[in-house]
Amino acid sequence: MADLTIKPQAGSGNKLIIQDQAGNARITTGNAGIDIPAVTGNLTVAGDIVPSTPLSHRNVWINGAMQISQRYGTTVHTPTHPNYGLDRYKIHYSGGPVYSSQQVTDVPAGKGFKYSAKYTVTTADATATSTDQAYVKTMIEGYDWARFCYGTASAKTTTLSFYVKSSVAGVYSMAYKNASVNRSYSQVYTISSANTWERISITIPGDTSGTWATDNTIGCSISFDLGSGTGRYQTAGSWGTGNIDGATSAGADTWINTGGATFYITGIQLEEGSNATPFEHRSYGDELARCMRYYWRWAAGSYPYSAFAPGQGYSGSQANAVRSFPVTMRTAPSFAVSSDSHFWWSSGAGNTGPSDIEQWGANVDTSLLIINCSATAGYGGYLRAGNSTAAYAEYNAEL
Amino acid sequence: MEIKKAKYIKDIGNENSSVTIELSDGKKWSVPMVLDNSDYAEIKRQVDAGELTIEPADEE
Repeated sequence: MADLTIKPQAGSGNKLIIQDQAGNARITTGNAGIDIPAVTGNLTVAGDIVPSTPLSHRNVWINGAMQISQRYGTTVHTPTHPNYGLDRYKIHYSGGPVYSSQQVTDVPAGKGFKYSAKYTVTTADATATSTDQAYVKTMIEGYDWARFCYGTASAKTTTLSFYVKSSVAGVYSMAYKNASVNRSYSQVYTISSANTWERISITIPGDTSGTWATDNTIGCSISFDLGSGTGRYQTAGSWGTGNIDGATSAGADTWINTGGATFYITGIQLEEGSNATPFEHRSYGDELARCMRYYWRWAAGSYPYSAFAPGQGYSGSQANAVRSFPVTMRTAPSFAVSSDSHFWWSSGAGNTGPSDIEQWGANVDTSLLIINCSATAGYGGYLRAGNSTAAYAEYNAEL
Repeated sequence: MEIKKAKYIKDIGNENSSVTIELSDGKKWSVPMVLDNSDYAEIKRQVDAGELTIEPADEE
């Protein structure tokens, strides 16, 4: 049967009205459902909207719009392998290649993004071996991964979408893997044109096998391969058991072998279902708080005497201070400061420079610090920036 | 994580509570002895593999 068109016989403004005997609007197939065409005007729904996938909080990916870069801001940085660049993005390279990371303002036009992550090859992988690593990954906490029911018969299909631009066109790849790295899935995608923003969408069937954490440990590691060795690859498009970063991808191999090659990415969204919906923009504050569950940094900023943590003298040579965290962290975090010399212990009318600042212990909400300095037992005081805008303290609870 | 030096820190109950590590880049971290902490998990892996020895804490 050809298309069936029903329209009023005359009059350009006459409507087509479909009602039941009671005068209620009624369109139905009586079977599985009906395709609703795109609505060009306003749509008012008197009843409930019941979608098959979430309308809000669809995106489980944190910092997908590359808004947060607590460690390095917009400064180009080459982390030691493996380590973090922008928040939540861990950079891996070994066996020869090296690439840098930077938060930049080169973004796809008209999509509402301010930043992307830029990766630049600083040392090409001239003598590639099968075990070389070159990939960027994020790890999604089990509490957030639980919604996809992995490792059960109800495992959900997910769709990963992102905007990408590379100086090297060709085939690239990505991968999912569990914490035990014995369940993994890789898929390829094609960057059609060099130096051109494109949106990529990849749909991954849920894994009904294996063990996938649903607590505060690694739920799923997701990597964007940038030219790892063949030993880090697995056949694209099916679940396997390898500890892998992607699949055979000539574009990525060329990229890591090209000094100065660039790869930009932003707008990463991971959601339930088989379709990539428009990117779910979140507020800066919301995204920052999400990142702080894994890492946060206190910085003196423009005020060189900023207060950091209140405390009291413990003895003549030690003070203790307590710092509360801005959000509950994933686990008790590690602690570091920019330099002991960037801080003062202030008590009474005096400031003393500590010789050492360490963390005595911590839980997910607070940190207890030991400050080796001249102090008076029982006297109140506080740890502060010591006339230094470079002072910072950092807490790390990354997966 | 390339650890140059590691040393325990004792808490007020005189029990080891954290490990202070110095990395190859000179950065010093205080790491709580909690296995969910990925830094401590790596320290423990290196200790178990015989790649790292943790110095005892200073006595009070």
